[in-house]
Amino acid sequence: MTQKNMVLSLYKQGSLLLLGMIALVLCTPQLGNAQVFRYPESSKQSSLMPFFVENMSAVRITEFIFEPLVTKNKRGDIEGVLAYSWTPTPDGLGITFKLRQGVKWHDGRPFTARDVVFTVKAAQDRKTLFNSKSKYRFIKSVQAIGDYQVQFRFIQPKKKPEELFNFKIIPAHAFKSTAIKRLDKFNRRPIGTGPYKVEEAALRVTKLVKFDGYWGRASIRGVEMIHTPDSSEQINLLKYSGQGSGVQAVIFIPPKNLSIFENSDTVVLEPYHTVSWWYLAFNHKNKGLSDVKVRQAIAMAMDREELLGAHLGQGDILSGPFTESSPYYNFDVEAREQDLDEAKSLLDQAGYRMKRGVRTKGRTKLTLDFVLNKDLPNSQQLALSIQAQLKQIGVDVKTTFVDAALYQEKVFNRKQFDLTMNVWSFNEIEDIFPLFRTGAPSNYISYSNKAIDAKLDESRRESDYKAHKEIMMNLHQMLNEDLPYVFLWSLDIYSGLSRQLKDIFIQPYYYYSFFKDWSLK
Amino acid sequence: MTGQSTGQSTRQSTWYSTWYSTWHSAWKEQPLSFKLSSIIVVLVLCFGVINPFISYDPVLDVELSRRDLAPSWEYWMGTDGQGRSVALRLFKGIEAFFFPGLIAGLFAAFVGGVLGALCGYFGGWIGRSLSAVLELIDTLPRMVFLVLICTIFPPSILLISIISSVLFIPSIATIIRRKVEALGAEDYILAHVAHGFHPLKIISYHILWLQCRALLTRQMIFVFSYVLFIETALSYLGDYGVQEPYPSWGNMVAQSRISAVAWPWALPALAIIITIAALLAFGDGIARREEEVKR
Amino acid sequence: MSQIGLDHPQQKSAMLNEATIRWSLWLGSKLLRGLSLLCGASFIIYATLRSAPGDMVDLILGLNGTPEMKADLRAEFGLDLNIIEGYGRWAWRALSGDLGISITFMPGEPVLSLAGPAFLVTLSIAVVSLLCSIAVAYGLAILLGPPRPRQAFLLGPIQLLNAAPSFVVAICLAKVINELIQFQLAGGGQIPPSWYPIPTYQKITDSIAPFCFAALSISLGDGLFTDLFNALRAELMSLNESLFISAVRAKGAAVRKHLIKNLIVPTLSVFTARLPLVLSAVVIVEYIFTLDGSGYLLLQAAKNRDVPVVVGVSLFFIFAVIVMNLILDLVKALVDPREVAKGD
Repeated sequence: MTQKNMVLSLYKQGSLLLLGMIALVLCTPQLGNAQVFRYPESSKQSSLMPFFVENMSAVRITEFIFEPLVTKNKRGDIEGVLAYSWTPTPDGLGITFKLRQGVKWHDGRPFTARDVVFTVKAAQDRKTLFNSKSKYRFIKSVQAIGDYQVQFRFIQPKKKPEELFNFKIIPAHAFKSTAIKRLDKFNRRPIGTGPYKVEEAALRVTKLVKFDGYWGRASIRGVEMIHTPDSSEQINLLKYSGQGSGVQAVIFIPPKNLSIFENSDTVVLEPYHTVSWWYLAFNHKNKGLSDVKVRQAIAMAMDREELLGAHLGQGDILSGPFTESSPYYNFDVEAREQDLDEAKSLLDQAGYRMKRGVRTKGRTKLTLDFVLNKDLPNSQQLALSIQAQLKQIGVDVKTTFVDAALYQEKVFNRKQFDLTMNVWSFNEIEDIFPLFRTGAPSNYISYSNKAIDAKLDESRRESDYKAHKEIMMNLHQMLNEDLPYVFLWSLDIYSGLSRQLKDIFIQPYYYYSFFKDWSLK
Repeated sequence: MTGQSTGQSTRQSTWYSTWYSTWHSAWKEQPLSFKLSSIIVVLVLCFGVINPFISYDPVLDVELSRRDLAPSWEYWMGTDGQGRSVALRLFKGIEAFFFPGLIAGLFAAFVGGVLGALCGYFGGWIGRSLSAVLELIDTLPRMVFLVLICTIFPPSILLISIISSVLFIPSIATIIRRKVEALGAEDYILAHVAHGFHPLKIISYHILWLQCRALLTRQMIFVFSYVLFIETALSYLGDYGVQEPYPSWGNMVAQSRISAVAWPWALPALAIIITIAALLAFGDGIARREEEVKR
Repeated sequence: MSQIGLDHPQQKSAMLNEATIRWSLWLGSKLLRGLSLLCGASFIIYATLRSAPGDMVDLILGLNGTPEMKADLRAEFGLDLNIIEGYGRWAWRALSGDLGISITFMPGEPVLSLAGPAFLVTLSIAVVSLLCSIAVAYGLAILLGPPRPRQAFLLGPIQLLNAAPSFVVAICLAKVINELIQFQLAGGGQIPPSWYPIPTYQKITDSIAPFCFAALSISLGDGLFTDLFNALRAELMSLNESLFISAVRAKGAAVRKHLIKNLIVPTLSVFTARLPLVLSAVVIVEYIFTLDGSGYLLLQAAKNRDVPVVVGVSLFFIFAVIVMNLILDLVKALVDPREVAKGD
């Protein structure tokens, strides 16, 4: 009995303690800084060092920390950042930049021409290994003239060379040699000239604070990037966009969630246009798919309007490898509409007959492996609907969802796929040469067409803008007929931004290029 | 009619009538929890067995016009975000864990039982090295290892079930080894040895079959429920289980992240809870009954 | 040997010496065994990860990478050696406390500083929920006394609900909390309460709520409580009815001290037996409540094929289990030195 009483009294005390703790938890004041801008990212940045930027998350966050020589302003004109004036040589083979004085690195050292020279040398160093090395290949030599002037020479003549100098500059004094290693401490604790410097790079959160010695001006005191893989969690956080927890911006709001914020008092939906388009790629090594009639039939079996509307929201259905805002988009080419009868008759013409529910010709069955990257938004639902649509014409699709690393291995390296869906994103303008030229690096679908190769080569040689445009529009037409991909759509993308933010302007690719003008109430 | 049949059974006293009467009296003695759980287990078994014979095309089931419908007479567990009937998917989802679970359970119980008996019976360096290997496998953190396997290899429920059964072998083997070691000292086993029975026969029949049957059944059921558990968990962590469009209870629960309404994920969650509870209670019941019978 | 009496001082010192030797031998063999298990298990994980399809180097360099570039990067990441050599190098460094550096998840960050704090979160959730469950289970066992049929009405439903997998409990809990908040803030509020399941700042000190929710889900799920309750109650009952306690009681001495002393070993063994299971449950549950534990780290690192980080995190799990077993053995031996005397 005494034991029981003891336990009872213990329980009483314990529950009181528990209640007290709960009360404490409920009443703790919200920590958080009113002047800090927080945003979630669905993937973590690959690095904070501009060279090793391999995902969009890294592209966006480095925009706070580093600056290029020149950039495009809101109107699309070239504007100086670290350089204030430039003079191309008349032969188009060189350019001289005059650099801004009084710019400081985050550690207080002055920014000089030496840093610019170092950046180019480091990028061209054979031992510095990164993805976008080709961006620096056009430079033949670089030379500092004094502390605030840099002279470049090119391999080939360039028309508007200043446009190519939008790469970010890194400090020479932070490195021992031009061979930059990925595992260097600098990549977690970078030093830049940008308006924000890195305060803490933790597991999930990267914290940036305003750099006091910045040469320009920025309004918001700090930035925090929170890695939030789950997109519905991002939406939840945006709902609480107030002080403390919650975020002030979600970069991509899935269309099905747009309605949540349509009449919101706290969040505004901001559309922006990205230069990116979706496609359904065929593996041209597949016997069935190397037949253009089969590809056309598959394209005609798909109802792209419905797929887009049901799973991704609004966008433009495309007929070729350009977005509608691109100068090369050929509006004379019609996008194929769904036409099941036509698709079936095309398959009949190609010699594929129904056999146990699957179109078969000899020993070739139209049973296709559809490999998808799990990280692609709404990939599961889309794949399911595509599967259902293709089944109507007797094409049997088997889907496999894999993670990014395995996708790379399966699709790009081993080419173990028949169909895959993906997105190409471009910085400014669509460069389709590496996608469709025989043997080009991004032509992972093993596509080869002599006529198209010839046209692509011609486009590379042509420097006259009008003639170039003509060629590209021609290519659009040809690619639409030959269908290396089924060109799907480009999306109208919406960001959700808190109404506390003022003077927002989104750069479609780098996103935060004009962040220093933003302010937070 | 009834009179005639009872008359016959009393006259002939057929095997089934004795079986029935013993079974019936045994059933009446059981606690309620065992009765309930065995009903559920039998239901799951029946559903699992008839599952492959009922064809279901998950692709053609997609109908965007009827998504997120509340439970009604037509769809009595409602429909999900793709307009598919939750009840039908719940039923078809049994297939996803039923056969892998069965395979994993049988495999783990068989291999674990044999290895455990060998270790316990022989001792010596064979037994010692075997138990060292088993101990090594046992130190691997199960969940961590499974998550690892599922992230880096293409997802497949068969792989999950094989790995989880391998991870369970050591614990089963240890239980059996202890039992065998305890039995090894008993007189009647020694008597069998003295009679010159082949050790394999003693291990397989006298020890494993007669003494460890209930233990192994219980472990098998445990592994079965673990496969269900792990499939669900991995589906939640990142679609590592059964892949859409094919249904599994795991990927249905994982819908909780995206579903606007509760039933597409709450009902499978409930099904998981009830099934696991029933399986565990059933396993315990069997083990307890065996103990009672022995006494 | 151990039956020698303690008549002469010489004999006594000899005895002491012998005991020390025996103890250190025993401890040494246990430690050696733990170390070899650690090595073996970490090798399995290393080998699994290295033999996985899909290479991070390809992912990084993309379609532009030349074979030479890929080879160079592999060398930089330490992926150029074959599995056995690579593991050997890793293990050699690990012996001096260097678990390597992260190569792709947080490039350059030492694994120890990544995995250590993350594992601490996981471990503390596991330990807190286990200890709470044990305390409540003991309390309930004492309150209920010996098993009676009528208790089934209380224990049956507990058992049923407790059978739910912990992460299903966690999902439901998170959903309910979210609904509550949404209901509360339907009038256009923006400031989430501090008990919002997603921590504001990812440190336990900033918001303890997600941590509590995770621990609660663990205690409520996986049959943890029922198992503990059954085991501890059986222990308590058999002890209560045992002869020596009756003797103590008859003598009129304090029973409690003896009870507690004799419950230490069973409680500890229940704790150690359950710890690995609870740790694995925490991996998923903390993911649901977005705590920065090893679940998050493990998944992200495995996605990025970050070999050193994954092996490092797993090493902590293995290490915890081995250490707990060692402690259990030690306590058992201290309580009952016959174990040591038997030798191994």
